[in-house]
Amino acid sequence: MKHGVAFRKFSRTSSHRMLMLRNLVTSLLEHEQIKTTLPKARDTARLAEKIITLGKKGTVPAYRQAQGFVLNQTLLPKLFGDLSRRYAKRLGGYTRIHKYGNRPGDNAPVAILELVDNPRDLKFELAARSIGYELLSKEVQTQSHQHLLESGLPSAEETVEKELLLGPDARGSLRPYTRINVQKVLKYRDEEAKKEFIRKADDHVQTLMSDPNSLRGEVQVPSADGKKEIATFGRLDKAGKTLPGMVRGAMRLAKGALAKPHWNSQPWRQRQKLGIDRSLVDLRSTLSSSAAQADA
Amino acid sequence: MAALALRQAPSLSSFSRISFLAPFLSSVSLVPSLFAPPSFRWTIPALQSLLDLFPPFVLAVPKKKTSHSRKRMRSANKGLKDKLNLVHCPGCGSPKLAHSLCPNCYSQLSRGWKQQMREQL
Repeated sequence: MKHGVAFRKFSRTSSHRMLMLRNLVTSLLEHEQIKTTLPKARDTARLAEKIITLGKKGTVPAYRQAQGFVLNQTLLPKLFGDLSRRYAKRLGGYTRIHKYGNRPGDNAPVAILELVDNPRDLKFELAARSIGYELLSKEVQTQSHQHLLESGLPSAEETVEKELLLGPDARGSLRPYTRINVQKVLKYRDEEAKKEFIRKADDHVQTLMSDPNSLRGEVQVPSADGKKEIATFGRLDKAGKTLPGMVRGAMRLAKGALAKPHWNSQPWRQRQKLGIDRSLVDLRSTLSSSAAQADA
Repeated sequence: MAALALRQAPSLSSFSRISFLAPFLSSVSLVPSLFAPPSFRWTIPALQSLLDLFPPFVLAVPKKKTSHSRKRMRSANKGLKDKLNLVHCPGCGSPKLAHSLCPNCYSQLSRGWKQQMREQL
């Protein structure tokens, strides 16, 4: 039984385990984003947050404690300076764990452990991308692709400013979870970070529009000699792929051709041609013709 | 446990306890009493009766080669299970595992960072 036991053993002796965790925390403070196994990430996050708390305290005893734990003394000024300022207003939760599949060698579940609000903050980047994708999805449903490619999209600035003030239940341009993530990511950040966020969202919209595979439908692309050609964009070349504006279930997409077809996937015209079934219109016409013959 | 079939006179009741040591004791030929019936005899227990002492599962053996059909039917529940925790990445629209990072998005970001590092050097 493991009731109430706080720490993992990692199949190591006490000294080995402690040194491994100290190494992981030191690496995290140095690089601000590390990839390791999920259980190690969870234990390291716990210890790293305690060290950052020491950094926030800033007293001499706290400095001595951190000095005894961190294995690289050159990181102490960073811990008591940059990181302390970065997390001055944040009440705990200075680390974040992202699950990232399984390692090929031993199938171990892998996670990316990062310090929140670091220059490579993954949640920040992915939230910016989500906004870009969502705004493009909305535009694609209302405008034609030709018009979109020519005129482009308005900046995400308006949307972001508006959504930062909305509550989770309010109705806005973004989905509820996207809005929550945007608010979380920009909560303890300054104006420059917000500008960076908007810039990343706009960049992502540009990236998606420049990729010919990401817009569905036929678009007129002028050829070199001036004659207009029609190019079909948006091939669904991978199983489960969706394009901006498409809404389909992930499971059904992932199964591809092996998925059960939608109950209404074959339009009635096609079914008639193939002779699978006869529509009511057919039946009625035959009945009426036979009745007319009987009368006559 | 199979009991050894021993025919013995009542006068030899002290040796009549059916125990593990019974075959060894009974192999000793005892001098029959004068009033013992003539058909009485002690025999060294045969191999079959020795084998009878061991429980049946010790000597279990398959009777026939398992057919291909039966072997495959036994593996019916050993197949790969479908992954049901698939969702779309909100950033790029490609499929990904629920509650995990999108590998497509992460690889693009990672390559961008590495490019930056190379340009700085």
